[in-house]
Amino acid sequence: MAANTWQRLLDDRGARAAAAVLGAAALAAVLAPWIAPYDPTLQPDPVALRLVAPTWQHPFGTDPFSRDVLSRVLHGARVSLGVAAGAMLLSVTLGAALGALAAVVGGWVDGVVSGLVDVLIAMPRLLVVIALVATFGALSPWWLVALIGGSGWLTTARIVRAEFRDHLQREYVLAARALGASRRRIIWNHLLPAVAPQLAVAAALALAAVIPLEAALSFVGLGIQPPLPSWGNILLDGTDYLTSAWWLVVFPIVAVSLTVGSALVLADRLRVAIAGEERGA
Amino acid sequence: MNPALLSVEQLQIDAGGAHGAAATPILRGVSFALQPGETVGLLGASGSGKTSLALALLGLLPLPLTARGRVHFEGHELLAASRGARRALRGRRLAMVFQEPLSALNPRMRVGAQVAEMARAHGERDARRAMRGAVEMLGRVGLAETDARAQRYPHELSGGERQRVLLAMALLLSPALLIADEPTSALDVTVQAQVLQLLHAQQRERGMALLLVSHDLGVIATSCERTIVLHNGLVVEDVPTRQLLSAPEHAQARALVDAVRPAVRRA
Repeated sequence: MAANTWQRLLDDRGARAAAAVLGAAALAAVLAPWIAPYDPTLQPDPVALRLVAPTWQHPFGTDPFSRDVLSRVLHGARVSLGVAAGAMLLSVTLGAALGALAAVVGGWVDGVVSGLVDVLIAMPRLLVVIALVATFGALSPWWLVALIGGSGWLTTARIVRAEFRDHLQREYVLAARALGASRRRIIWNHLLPAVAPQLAVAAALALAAVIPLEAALSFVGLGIQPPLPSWGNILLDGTDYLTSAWWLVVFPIVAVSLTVGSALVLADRLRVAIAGEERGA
Repeated sequence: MNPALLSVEQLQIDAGGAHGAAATPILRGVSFALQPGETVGLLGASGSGKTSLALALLGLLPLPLTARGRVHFEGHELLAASRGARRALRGRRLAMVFQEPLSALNPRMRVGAQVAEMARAHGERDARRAMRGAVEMLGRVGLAETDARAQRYPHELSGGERQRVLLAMALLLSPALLIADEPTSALDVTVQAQVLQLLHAQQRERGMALLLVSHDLGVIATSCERTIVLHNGLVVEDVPTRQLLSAPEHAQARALVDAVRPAVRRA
């Protein structure tokens, strides 16, 4: 029989396919300097090689500055996925820590955390981030990670708090306490493993939310600054040539869609696996 | 007389009604004592406060319940002790076995790891040594071929096997007092007898005191020297079990005895 949620996930073809796409994207991002055919910022001949349609030399074509779009998309993966992964890790860690704290300590701590979540969750995230960037000017990728990650922990905190409260009431936690397990032991050895699948769902959803957020910020010129490529600012370079040079727009959009779609599929298959585990089927 | 292992004086448990509402107390001043190695039954109908009493002894009453009174155990005043001090006693000197073994075990953890976790919770730093001790303990509570069985998850074991795992956890550090809250009522009759036998064998071997909490006089009559009857939050009888069976004084005790008398006679 399938032992647990993770085993069920491994047996799921959709989940495996989504994980493979994300893995390939991550690999491309890591290996970009070695597999990209050209320097992504090199402008070899802004006159003769300007806006070349896809050829064997330039499979994704070139942009208005004669740069190779394939190389830019690969290096853009490095920036976009790097920022997204960092922001996702930050928001999930922060959310898990605060949600767990609220559930375990309870009382006024719970009141403060839950109240904060309720207030902040009502704010439109993209607008808040745009307002902050507009105030402080263009940001380095690290600040972008801090800003996007720091504004994304709310739903994770809610999920973890609810799951922790549920499990805290279960008899196995009482039994563990009755035999002298400390709070820390119960949190790390009993509660966190219990919520790990839900946390993975939250992480996949966070990734799916953060990739377009970075792209959107860079697209409006507030995120990653040129000449450093990101999927958002490659798209920005292409908007003026939408009717004449489709390749500038299509490839970064495909990259965003594939990674976001895979993250969403993974989140969905995880939910199915969790439901199956709970049914005990 | 030896100093008692556990002595409970005027223990009162309040339901802590919010906003000053007059809450009905769950226990209204309960006193009794347990000698080292003694086996005592705590008998009462559902809702008589048995389980709350057990949880109060461990300092694990769920909010909003609160306990007042005095509980002496091995030189500690449990109700006044700090959280850390009580935690250190739980599992090591004072252990508890729960009624429903499936929900009292973590469904996501292999049973060997759960027993080993006990040792780890009380300061064993070497994970492999903790696991060896756990497997050995599982063997002593009668789980055969234990190396393989220690690798199983709770849902892969039978009800009786799961209760043995809980016993292994509770007995691992040789507590001086084991509180068993309806340890057999989730099991079928033949398994019940086996688990009770095991419980008593382990108890004799360790010289451990046993407080057997049950609504089932049949279970208590076959195993306890003395029986405390709890009714409406008060102790209404505290007598040798034999005496309770032949001449119960309190009406509630009489009702409980009459209900099981045919079964006890056969036993």
